[in-house]
Amino acid sequence: MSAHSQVADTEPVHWLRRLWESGPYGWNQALTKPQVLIPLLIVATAVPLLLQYVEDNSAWTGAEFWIRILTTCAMYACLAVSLNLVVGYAGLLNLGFIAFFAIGSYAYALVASDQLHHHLPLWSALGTVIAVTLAFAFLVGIPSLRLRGDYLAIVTLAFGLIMREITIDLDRPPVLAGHQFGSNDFNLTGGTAGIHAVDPLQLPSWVPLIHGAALQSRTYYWIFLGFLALSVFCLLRWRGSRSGRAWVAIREDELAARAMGVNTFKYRLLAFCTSAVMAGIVGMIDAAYTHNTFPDNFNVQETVLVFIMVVLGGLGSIPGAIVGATVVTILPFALQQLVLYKYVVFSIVLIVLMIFRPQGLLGIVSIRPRAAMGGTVELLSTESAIEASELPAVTDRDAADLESASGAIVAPEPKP
Amino acid sequence: MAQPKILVLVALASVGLAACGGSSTSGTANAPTKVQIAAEGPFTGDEASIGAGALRGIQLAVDDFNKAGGVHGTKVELVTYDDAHKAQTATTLQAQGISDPTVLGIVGPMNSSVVLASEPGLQSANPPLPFVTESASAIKVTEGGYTVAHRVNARDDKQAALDGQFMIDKGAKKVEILDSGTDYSRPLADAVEAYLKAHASTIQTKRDVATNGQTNFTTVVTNMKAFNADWVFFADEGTETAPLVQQMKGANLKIGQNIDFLGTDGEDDPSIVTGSQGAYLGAYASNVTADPQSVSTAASFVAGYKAKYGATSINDAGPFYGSAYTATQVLLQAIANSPVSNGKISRKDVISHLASDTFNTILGPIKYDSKGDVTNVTIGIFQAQGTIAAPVMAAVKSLTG
Amino acid sequence: MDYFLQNFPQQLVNGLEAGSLYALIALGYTLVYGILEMLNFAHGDVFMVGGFLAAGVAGLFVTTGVAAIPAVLVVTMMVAAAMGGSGLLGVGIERIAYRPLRNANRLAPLITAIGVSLLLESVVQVQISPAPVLVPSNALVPQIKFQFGNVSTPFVDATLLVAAVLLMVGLDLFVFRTRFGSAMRATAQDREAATFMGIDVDRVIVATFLIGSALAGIGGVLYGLQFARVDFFMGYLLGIKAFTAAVIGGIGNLRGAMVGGLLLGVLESMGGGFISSQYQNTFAFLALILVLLLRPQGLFGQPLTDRA
Repeated sequence: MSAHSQVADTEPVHWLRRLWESGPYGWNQALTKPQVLIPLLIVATAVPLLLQYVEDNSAWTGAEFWIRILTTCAMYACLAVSLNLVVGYAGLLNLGFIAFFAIGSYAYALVASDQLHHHLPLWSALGTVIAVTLAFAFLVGIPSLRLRGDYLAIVTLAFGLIMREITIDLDRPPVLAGHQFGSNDFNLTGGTAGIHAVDPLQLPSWVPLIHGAALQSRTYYWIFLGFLALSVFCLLRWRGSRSGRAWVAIREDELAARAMGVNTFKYRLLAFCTSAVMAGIVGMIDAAYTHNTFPDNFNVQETVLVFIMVVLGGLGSIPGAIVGATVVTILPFALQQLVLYKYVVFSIVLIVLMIFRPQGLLGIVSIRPRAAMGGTVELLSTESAIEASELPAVTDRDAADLESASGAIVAPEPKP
Repeated sequence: MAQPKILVLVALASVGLAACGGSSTSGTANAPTKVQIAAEGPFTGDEASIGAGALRGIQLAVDDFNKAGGVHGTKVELVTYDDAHKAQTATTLQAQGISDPTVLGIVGPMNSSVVLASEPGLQSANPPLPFVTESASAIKVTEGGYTVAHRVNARDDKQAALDGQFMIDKGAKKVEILDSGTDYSRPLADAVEAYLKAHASTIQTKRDVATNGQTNFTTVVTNMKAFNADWVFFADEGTETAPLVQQMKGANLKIGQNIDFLGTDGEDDPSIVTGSQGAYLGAYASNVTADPQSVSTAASFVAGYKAKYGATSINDAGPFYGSAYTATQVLLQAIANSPVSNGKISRKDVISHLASDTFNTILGPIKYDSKGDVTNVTIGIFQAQGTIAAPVMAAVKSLTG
Repeated sequence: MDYFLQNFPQQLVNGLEAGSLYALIALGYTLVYGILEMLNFAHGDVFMVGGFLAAGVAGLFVTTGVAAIPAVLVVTMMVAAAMGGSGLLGVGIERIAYRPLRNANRLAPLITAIGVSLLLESVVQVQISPAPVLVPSNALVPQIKFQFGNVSTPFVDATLLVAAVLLMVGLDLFVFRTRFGSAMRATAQDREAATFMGIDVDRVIVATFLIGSALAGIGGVLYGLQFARVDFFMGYLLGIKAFTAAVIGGIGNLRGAMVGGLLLGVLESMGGGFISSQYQNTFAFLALILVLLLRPQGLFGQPLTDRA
C-alpha cells in the first residue's frame, strides 16, 4: 500500500528525490492528486480478485482470511479518515468517537432485524442511521463544543461509557427508585448479548457486485472501499471550500479567526457532526457485515485504536490516516504468533514512534499547547511550505491559503 | 461422579492404541500429514483473566495428547486465535481456520456473545468447522440447530434450574440475585430469577448488579443488608466474588452464619477462598463438573499443570482451565477416531464422531445429545471448605439430567 | 422515604470512602494538568504499579496469613515501596515519554500516555498475572470496625478517608506555603514567565510528577489493603473516574480535586444505592456533564478566559 513505490515505478528518479525532500506537505499533495488516488483505488479494488485468482491456482488457502483483514482495514480507514476530520482539521479531542460508530450500528440493527420487527430497505435504513447519529452528535456537541478541547475530551469519553452502560441495561424496562418505566416485554437493545441476525445490506439490483443472495466478505470490502473513496473525495473538495478555509483559520489561530468574524462554534459543530455521521454509516455497514452488534462496540479501547491510527499516520493528512489504519490493523494479525505479547510490542512501537516522530508519518499539522488560549497552530515549518509551493502539485489556491494563514498568526510567542 | 483413576488411564491408553491401531503396520500410510486445532478465547483484553488459564489448559492437553502418540503418530499443532472478546476479530481469525482444511476444530470461543456471532460462519463453511467451547453457557448456542456447536459446560437453563431448586429446597425466603453485567452472568441471573418466580412465588427476590471490573461493592452490600436477604445468588465469572464476600463480611454478613451464598460455575474455584481470605468458606457454587482439584481422576492433570506452569499457577488459572483441558480432550479424541484418507482427515467426519462417540476425560465421560450439549450431565453443587491454605470445593449435591 | 432515611448515613459513608480513593488519584491528575495541561492517561496505571509493589512486599513477609514481622513494619515498607516505586515510575515516564514531546503536536503526549498505559497494563498482565493478586490484608490491618449507630465501616476504609484528607492538607500546605510550592504555582500559571523569573521549570515538572505519582502509589497500597487484591486492570476505570472528579472540582485546583472526588463518590453511592445500581456510572457521568454545562470551570476553578 505504498504510494511511494507506485510513484517510483512510473516516474524518473530525480522527481522522486524532489518529492522526498518536499517533506510531509509535499507528500500529501502528491498523494492526494487524482493521478495517484485513482490508480490506487483501482488496485485496491482488484486485490480480492487477485487473491482469489492466486488461491484458485495454487495450494494457498489464505484468501478469505486476508480479504477479511483487508475489509477490517478498509473499515478502520474510513473511521480514521473521519476522526482525522474532527481531530486533525478541527482540532477537537473526541474521545467518545467510537460511540457514534456503535450508535450507527445499533440504529441499523434496530431497523433491519427482528429486534423491533422492522426490516427497512437500504435508503430508509441509511436515512434512519444518519438521523439518529446526527441527533446524538447534536446532543453531545452543542453543549460541549463551546468549551475547551480537554473538556470536550472528557465529556465525549463519558458519553461513550454511558452509552455502553445504557445499551447493556436496556433489554428490560429501567427500574429507577423502585419504579418500573415501561412494560415487561420492553427490549430495545438486546442487552449484553447484543442484536443478532441483522440483515445484510439490501443493495439495489443494478450494483454489479452481488453474487447470490448472501453478500460475501469481499462485497463488504468493496462497500467500505467505496465509502472510503467517497469520503476522501468529499473531504478533499471540502478542504478547498469555505468550510475548509474556515477550519484552517480556526486551527491556525482561533482568536484571529473569531476576530475576522468566523463563527468558530458553527464550524466546529460542522466538523464534529460530519465525523459522527460518517462513523455512524461505517457502523451501519459493519453491523450488516458481521450480522451483529454488541455493547462492546462502544469500548473506549476502539477509540484509542483509531486515535493511534490517525496520529501515527499524521494529523491533518488523509493519506496518513489511511496508512495509519492499515498499519495498526495489520500489525496485530501479523503479530499473531506472539499472542500474549502483542500489546506489549504494540505499545512500545507506538511510544517510540511518538517520541521520535510526533507528527506521525505524513503529518502536516503541528499544534502547540497553550495555557489559556484555545490552541495556536503553526505549520511544521514555513520553509518547507514555501518550497512545496514551488512544486507543480500545489494549486494556487493552496498557496494562497498558506500565505493568508501564515499572515493570520497574531503575536508570535517566544519559543520556550 | 468420581472415576477410579486406573480406569481413566486405561481409557486414555486404549484411545491411544486405537488411534494407532488402524492398520497392522505402524501406519505411516494411515497417519495424517498435518493436524491442527485452534484455541480461541479472550487471551488478552478485559477478559484475559479467564482466557489465560484456559489457554494453558488447552496447551497442556495438546502436549499430553502428543506424548501419548498424537493422531496415529502425527503430532497435533495448536494455533491460537486471540479474539479479545471481539466478534469481528473472532470471525476474521476463524476465516484462517475455515480455509485451511488441516484445521479440524476449535476449542472455544469462550464467550457466549462471540460464539453466537461465530456460529453461522462456522456452520456455513465448506466443510463446516466444529467447535467445542469450555465456557459459553448461553442457551441459544445449542438451540440454533448448528451441528458444529458443542460445549462441555452447563447450559444456563439447566444450571439455573439446579440453582433455583437448591435454594428453594434450602428454605430460602429472600434471595438477592446479583449479576456482573456480562454476557455470561446476566442471562444466568435472569434464568434463576425466572425459575424462582415460576416455582416458588413466595420467595422475595431483589435484583442488583456487581459490575464486572469494579471492586467496590459497598453500596450493593448495604442494600443487601437492608433487604435482609437470607440468600445471595451471584452469577459471575469469578473475578468479583472475592471482594464482594469480603465486603459482605465487613458489613457483618457472614457466609454460613447469617447469610448463605450460591455462585455459578465461574465461582466453583477454590482459589476464591484464598483470594477472599476465608470469607468465601461455606459458600456454594454450581458447576457441571467439579473443580479439577477436587476430582481424583483429574489429579494427574493438576500435577501436570503445576509442573508445567509453576506451583502457584493454579491460583491464576481462572475457573475454566479444567474444562478447557476437557474440551480439548473431546476434540482430539474425535479427531483421532475419524478415518484418515490420503493423509487427510475430513471435518465432516470429526463432526459426526463428536456427535456419536463417548469421550473419556479427566472430569468424567462425555457424550453429546443432538444439540451439542452433554447428555449425561451431572450438575453438582459444591461448597467451599477446608482452610485458606488448603481450600477445596467439596461436592455437596448432584443432579443428573 | 423511610428506606432512604434509614440507609442514607451508611451510603453516605460508603460514598465518602469510595470518593477518597478517587480524590487521592485525582490529586495526581490535577497537579500534572495544572502544570502541563496534559491528560496523563498513564496515571491510573502508576497507581496500579504501586499497588503491585505493595503486594509484592506484603507477599515477602506474610505467608499463610501470618506476618513474620510486626504488621506495622510491613505496612510501612509497603507504603515506602509503593511511593518510591510509583514516584520513580512517574518521573521515568515523564522523562522518557513526555519531555521529548513537550513542544510537539498536542495529541502526541496524549497518545504516548495511552501507549505507556497500555504497556504497563500488558507487561503486568503477561509477566505477573492476568488474574488478581492477593494482598493479605487480614494479617496486616486491624480487623476492627467502627460503628456509629447503624453505620459501620471497616478500619481500612476509614483510614483511606482520613489519609486522603491528611495528604491533601499536606499537599495544600506544601503548594501554598513553601517556596517550591510557589515555583509550582508560577509554572502552572505561565510557564514561560516562570523561566524568566529564574525557576527551573524542568525541576518543577519532575517534582510534580514525583509527588503526584507517589500519592497514586499510596492510593495503590490503601486500595490493596482495602480490597485485599490488586489486578492489572485496576487503574483503568478508577483513572477515568478520578479524572472526572478532578474536572468536576476544577482541573488544576487541588481542593477541587479533593472535593470533586468525595462528591463523585457520594453521587455514585446515592444514585447506585437509591435509584438504580445498574445505572450507577451513568449518574456519575451525568453529574460531570451537568457541571460542565452549568459551570465548566468546575466547582473551584477559575472562570475560563477562552470559550469557543
